[in-house]
Amino acid sequence: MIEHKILFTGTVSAGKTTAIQSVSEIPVICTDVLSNDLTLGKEATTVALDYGEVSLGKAERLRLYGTPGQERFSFMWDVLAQGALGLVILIDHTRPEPLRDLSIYLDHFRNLIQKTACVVVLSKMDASRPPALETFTEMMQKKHLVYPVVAADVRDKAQVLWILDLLLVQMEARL
Amino acid sequence: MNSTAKKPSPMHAPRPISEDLRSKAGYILRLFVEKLGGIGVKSAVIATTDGFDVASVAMSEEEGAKLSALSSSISAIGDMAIKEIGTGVDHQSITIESESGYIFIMDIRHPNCPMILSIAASKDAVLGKLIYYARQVVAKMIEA
Amino acid sequence: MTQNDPGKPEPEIPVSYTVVGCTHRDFVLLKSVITLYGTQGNVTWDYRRSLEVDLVIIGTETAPASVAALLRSKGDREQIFLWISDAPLLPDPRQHLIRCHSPLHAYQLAGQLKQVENFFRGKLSLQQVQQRQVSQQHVVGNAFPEDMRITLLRWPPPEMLSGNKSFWRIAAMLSARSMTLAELAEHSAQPRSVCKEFLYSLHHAGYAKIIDAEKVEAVPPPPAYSSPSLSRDTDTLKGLKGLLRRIRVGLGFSSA
Repeated sequence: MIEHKILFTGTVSAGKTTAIQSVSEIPVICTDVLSNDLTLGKEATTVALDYGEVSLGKAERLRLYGTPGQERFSFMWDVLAQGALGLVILIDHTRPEPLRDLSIYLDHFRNLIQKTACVVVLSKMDASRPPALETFTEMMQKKHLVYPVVAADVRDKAQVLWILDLLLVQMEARL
Repeated sequence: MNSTAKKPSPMHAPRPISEDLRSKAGYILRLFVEKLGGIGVKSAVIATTDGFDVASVAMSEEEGAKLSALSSSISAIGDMAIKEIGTGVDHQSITIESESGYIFIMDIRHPNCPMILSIAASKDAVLGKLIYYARQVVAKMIEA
Repeated sequence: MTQNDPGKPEPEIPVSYTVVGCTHRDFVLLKSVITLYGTQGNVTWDYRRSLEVDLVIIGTETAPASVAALLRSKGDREQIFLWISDAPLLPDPRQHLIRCHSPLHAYQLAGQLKQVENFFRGKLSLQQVQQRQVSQQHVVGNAFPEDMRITLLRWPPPEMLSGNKSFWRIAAMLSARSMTLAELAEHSAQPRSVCKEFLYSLHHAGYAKIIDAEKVEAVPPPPAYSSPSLSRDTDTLKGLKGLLRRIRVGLGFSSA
């Protein structure tokens, strides 16, 4: 069985598990545990990984991995990043500092995305609430990192496919 | 208290760790290290299942936080493996062996606050003794 | 208003503007181009719902007779009228009228805004503004060599990508590596004219730049695409392309 991998990372409650579930052929296997972190505003949090998959044929498979969101688990980010074809960064726009959140993931995964591909997804975005999408692209320009930045609802399979299309287009452009 | 209770379902609201539980955990852990005469135990930590440390002994705060987060991930992957392969419901312990020592991760199935005991030991630890006393820690914590 | 002190930055000059008789699509494009453009200079663009403004932008929904009436109205302030239209010329004795072609394109609009800005900064006379109008023919006809390499500096906003269904994918390709017009047209399987128009808007709005092949660029080109899982089983270009095709099929894209 030949394995390939696409990685989903990003903040807690940005929708990593949901995004993977939208396209995975199997129910997502996840490592959610009871959360003791009152700042999270949710009951369960991923501490190791989410896992979904898509079959590419009899002997080939695409694995979809989701990382934990919290920085405490950044060692898992490195483990899961190995051999990934590309990275989707999901940012929950309702959190207090989404720009800073995005910075953390961009800095950590810089090597991976410069070698492969990346799409930044702003989830739960509201046009009337700052920061605007432009602020994110401006921040990335200053870091010399240029990747698609889109607002999307990852509960919608069509939008997740669109995000993956933008990822694949980048990979194809480099061949 | 039912020691085979499962982890509470994620529908419960998150609870902060009580000071009482913290101080009990600290005491139990210090007692554990003393019983071993300090031989072979490099560090020991009791953490929540989502990786926050409740009590730690014999290391810096940073080391304690790191071991807590690591143990949380490993423990969760252990649970996942057991569920997926179908040999039980919750893992009880995981041992990682290296050329210079061990890491033991043990499940503490406290009914209100599920936790993890994690011990980093060197090769000169007396293994049988360590595991025996570690199990005592788990039993005491379940009642805490 | 003007300063000759080299040490101090020039003060921010407000330019008020309004929009009349515009389609929704043009209005959205106008607002976003003005916002983008406004971050690059020292003029602040101030939208008002009133004709008492410095710049009146007249959209395609306005009849020429109404435009003529606007031009005739005697105000005591200096005003410029920017009309989106290909209609015949109107009498404009005070030389206050400049134009953009319809349908409205970001690069021409940005060019015209620059002239308006320079007028209100006191750097150009109205006559000069008239002379320097950016015409669509001029820009498009201008040599944009097929082999000039373009690099994306920043991901463009949705407003710039909504003009054509393929713009999103073209931008994504360009974000992966710098490309010439020829490469882009081949890779995207889109007509050259579509790629050209898009590259122009990007370049004009400051989202892309032309790489000078002779100079060493500050940002090195990205390393060739590599991933352990790919090099393990697919060493050839054909193999890599095949994998990405299989991934598309596996995910359920209608066309690989």
